[in-house]
Amino acid sequence: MLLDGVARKDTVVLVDTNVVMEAVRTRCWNAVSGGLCVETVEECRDEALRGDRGRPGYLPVSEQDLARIRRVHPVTPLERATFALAYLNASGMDPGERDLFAHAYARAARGDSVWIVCSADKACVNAAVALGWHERMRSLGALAAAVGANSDPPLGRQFGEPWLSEVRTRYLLGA
Amino acid sequence: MSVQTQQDQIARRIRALRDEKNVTQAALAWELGFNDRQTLAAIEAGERRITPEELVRVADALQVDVDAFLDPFLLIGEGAFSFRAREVEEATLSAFEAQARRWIATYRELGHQSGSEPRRLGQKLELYPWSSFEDAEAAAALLWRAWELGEVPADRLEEAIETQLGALVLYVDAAEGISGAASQLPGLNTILVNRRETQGRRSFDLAHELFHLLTWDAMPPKRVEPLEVKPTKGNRVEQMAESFAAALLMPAPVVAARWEARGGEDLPLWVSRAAARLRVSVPALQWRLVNLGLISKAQVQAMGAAPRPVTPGAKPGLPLLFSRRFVERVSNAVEAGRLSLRRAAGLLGLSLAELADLCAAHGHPLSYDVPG
Repeated sequence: MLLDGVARKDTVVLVDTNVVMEAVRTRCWNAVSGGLCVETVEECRDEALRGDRGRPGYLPVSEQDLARIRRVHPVTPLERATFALAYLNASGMDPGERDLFAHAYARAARGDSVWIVCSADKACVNAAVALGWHERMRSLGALAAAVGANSDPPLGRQFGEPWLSEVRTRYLLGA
Repeated sequence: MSVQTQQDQIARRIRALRDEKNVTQAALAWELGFNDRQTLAAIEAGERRITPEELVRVADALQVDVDAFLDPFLLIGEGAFSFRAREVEEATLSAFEAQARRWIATYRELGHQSGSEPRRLGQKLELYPWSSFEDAEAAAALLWRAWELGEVPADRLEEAIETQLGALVLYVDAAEGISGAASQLPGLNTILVNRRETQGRRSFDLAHELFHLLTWDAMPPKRVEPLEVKPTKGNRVEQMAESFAAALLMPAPVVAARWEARGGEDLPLWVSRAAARLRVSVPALQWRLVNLGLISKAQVQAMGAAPRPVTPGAKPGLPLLFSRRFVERVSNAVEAGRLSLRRAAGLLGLSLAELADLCAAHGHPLSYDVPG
């Protein structure tokens, strides 16, 4: 169970660009996207597809990888504006991260509460804490563990649950 | 950012973009469906909080993205630039200016976030369009003493500009033909230097652009200034800037002392060594020696094709991108969770791996695992 009182299959997992790229790199993407209800926004999908192609040894994210995402949401200018006026540090997030949070904000505004966010950036954890969503943050490591997937090569540090827990606690304490 | 700061930013940018597009307040108010002009006037004065719906309508009416009002990492309706460039197309310059605006806005916004106040107390040179070249050299000599630039002014100039002037110095990768630029923004002046230029050119660019920052109000530079300054009537200010730069990087007492110590050393060899030590080009030193009456133009012409020795004492290599202070500010924001890693890389025009490498090279490594 990823969210209290909600069946795993009914919990929408909103993933950002870094998570998609890391899951593909560490070969746990098929298990995570197959075992969970993974969704994202158009900007994150496009960023993942563009990737970091200049990097030696980079494993590109393919169209086939992205086709495994259950839904890719468009984000309207009104959703962006609403989020940016509500969360004043929204500009510190990259366009994909910002759109993902704007989408989540719109979901929350219309009373949808069966979603969690998977991100591996301090600015996103900071935003989640500020918005009262800290219980909704999950690490890629936790998602992989939930579906029994192995990561090979291992996940980067910021994709693990200990990193998320430490950073989240720090922001909750106001540090 | 506070709510009021954000509202003020939105208000400023609505005014700026409306002016840029020649739309009156009344016309925009009508297009937005407001009953009267007062509602928009209150928003533009920062007195009434704009709603998301209104913001989207304003963006549509002015045909811009909503980020044009919301993104503090943009400079909109503010900031003047002057580039030193040779045979560069306008599209290339505009693209570089857009990127430079991002860098400068990033530094300024991260400074605001960390409580760093913009520099309100400026310095200027008492030089005017009618001042003589000798006046410019005298001003350089005064600055050299006041800023204690020492025996090799080029070694200390960057630090002095940052500490004495509160200005930002950035070493950047610019398109071929763009050597440097100066940017004036209230509270934050910036000098951009193409780090791929030769060491001598970089030093001269820094001193030349410093002149523009210190005389901007009296002698606003053109948007594009030539790299090679010819002694023609139309570019007197640029000639003054060159005289100032030469006198600042090669102060008369410093050059005279080196000249005294030359002994019987072969002139071309001495010039090459002295230029390398002073971190200026050989031709720059040659003409400085002529101006100081130490050698003749004929001697310069005779030296013209002489082979140059390897230059011991020169600082080797390419400067790191941007500057230590700039990268420190970015790194601190990323580590504090005020700026995401991907956003920081995007603002600086780097990949994630390049950003991580740059932060480490400047002594501010990031705590993220970024595959290399």
